[in-house]
Amino acid sequence: MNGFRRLFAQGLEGLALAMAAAAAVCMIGIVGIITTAVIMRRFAGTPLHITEDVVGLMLSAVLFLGLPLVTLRSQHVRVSVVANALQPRFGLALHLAAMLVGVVFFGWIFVKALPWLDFAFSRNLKSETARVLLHPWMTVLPVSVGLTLVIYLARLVGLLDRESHSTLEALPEIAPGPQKG
Amino acid sequence: MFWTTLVGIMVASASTGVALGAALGLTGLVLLQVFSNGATGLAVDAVWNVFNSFTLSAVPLFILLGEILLRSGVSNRAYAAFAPVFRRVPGGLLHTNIAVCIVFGAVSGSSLSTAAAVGSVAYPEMTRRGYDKDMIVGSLAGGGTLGLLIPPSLSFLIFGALTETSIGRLFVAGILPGIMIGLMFMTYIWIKAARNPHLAPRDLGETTLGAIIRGFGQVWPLVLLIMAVIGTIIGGLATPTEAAGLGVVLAALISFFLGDLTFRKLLEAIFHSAQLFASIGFVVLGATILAQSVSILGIPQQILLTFADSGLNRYTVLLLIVLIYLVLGCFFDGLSLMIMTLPVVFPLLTSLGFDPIWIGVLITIVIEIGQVTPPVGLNLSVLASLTNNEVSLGRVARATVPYWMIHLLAIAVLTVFPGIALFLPNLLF
Repeated sequence: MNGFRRLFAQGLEGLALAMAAAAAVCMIGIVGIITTAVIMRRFAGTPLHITEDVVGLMLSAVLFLGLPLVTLRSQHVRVSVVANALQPRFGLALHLAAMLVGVVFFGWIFVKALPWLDFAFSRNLKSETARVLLHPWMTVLPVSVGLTLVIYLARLVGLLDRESHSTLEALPEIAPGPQKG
Repeated sequence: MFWTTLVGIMVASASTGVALGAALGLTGLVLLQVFSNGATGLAVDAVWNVFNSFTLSAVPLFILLGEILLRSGVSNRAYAAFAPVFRRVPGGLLHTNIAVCIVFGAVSGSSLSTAAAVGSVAYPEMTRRGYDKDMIVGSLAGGGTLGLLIPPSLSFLIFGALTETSIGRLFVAGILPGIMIGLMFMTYIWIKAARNPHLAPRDLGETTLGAIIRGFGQVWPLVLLIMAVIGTIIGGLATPTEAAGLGVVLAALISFFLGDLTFRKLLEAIFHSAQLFASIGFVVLGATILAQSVSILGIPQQILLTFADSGLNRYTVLLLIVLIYLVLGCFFDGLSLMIMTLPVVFPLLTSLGFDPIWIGVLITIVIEIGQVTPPVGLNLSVLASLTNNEVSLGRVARATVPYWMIHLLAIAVLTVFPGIALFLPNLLF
């Protein structure tokens, strides 16, 4: 059982990391497209007509591709005041309640996102200006929400360890510690 | 029934400690299900439409810009440049903290990056020189908040994107209030240090004009960045998103050639920025669903009518809103608070005749206060960890109280003289 748990956790971590790496690539893509568009407009006199559409799609991709790893590493913005105060006595109940909220929310969105994607797929929807095919980009939403749902479910049933809350806002390691003097 | 459901589900779910975005989103879904005939499918459309946005893409770019500068050591140069200027003034390097925060705020969109970047240089140096630790962290926490007000600002970007207000005008509107609050901080430091000289030991060494000029010669890359980012927006050469993209490229080049940025650090900055955006974006996602459910039921209009019928004058309403923000600031971090409340607060204040740009500045100052309000004030946590908990979170919070009060004073000044915020945007746009 422990072997399966470890394998499951490693698999989820790998998948979430791969998606987060893809989010970082999209971030580079946004910078690249915007810079190219500005240079082309200023110096070649030709606007890059795909800019607004593709950058918008990449922004959505950054959010949804980054979401599973943020969830897996418990780096979400959360209201900690009440939870921290109740943690010593009601830790398990709070954990179960939080996971249940996550499961219901992501499950609900997942269920609603499937017909939404199906509609885009069946109609071959395209973006307004650049006519970029939308469903490959839109697929990111249900995939991300689905994987995040799996993470919450796994925490709820004990397949993954409980959340140990950290924050992305924590000081990066580049800041030197104080020198005593 | 509606309000009981909204408040009940939101408080109950958020109190579990789950991701705030999930708590807000679930509340919105339940409201859509119960009060809008099960129209929960609207939630997915609303989320997709909000994020499929060219304007909002400036947010991760400005986060990335701040991350690159944070890793480049460029704040060392800025600190070295400003240190001689304030050497002989009561308060000394405490003024340098504020001045460098203003400059760093002009290239970074986040108050946290600003506090962390300046604090990592200032705290070790100033403790070595015998400055009072509480005064140091207080000035850094207070000064750091200016990163949100001085453009570019994540707060203005999100405010502009969600309310369809000109981000260029918002950016320009933040300049004078930001400088004003910075000067108010410096005045407080001056008075406090003059009355209690032991808090900030005076450096009686000679400061020559040449040393000052040489120091400023070191910060030209920062000036170049400020001009590239803010100058292009003001000059109408680029949109805020384009300016952010160019700023990222320029910051990376400058930091490679003149700072300590390596390829590995750049990749770290990109990865971390994408994750930070996903974290902030998820709050926006949840708030979008909630806002969709609230607006489809016409709740903002109902609130407007209630206030119109109440007979309260607009300044009383404004005071009530500020007080509500101050209370909520104890539970939510600044940006989350703004995202959650805008769908109701923005139409309410505009209907009372307040200028949308002025509202953006006001809300940014109020959420700056949230950044330094315990227990969730993120600037406080960062500074406590920066001191390796030599100064506890509680001590940082107490040391920041005067800066908290100055923000309130600034709100009063801006309410009496709205022109301080509106003069530049009216002049330049």
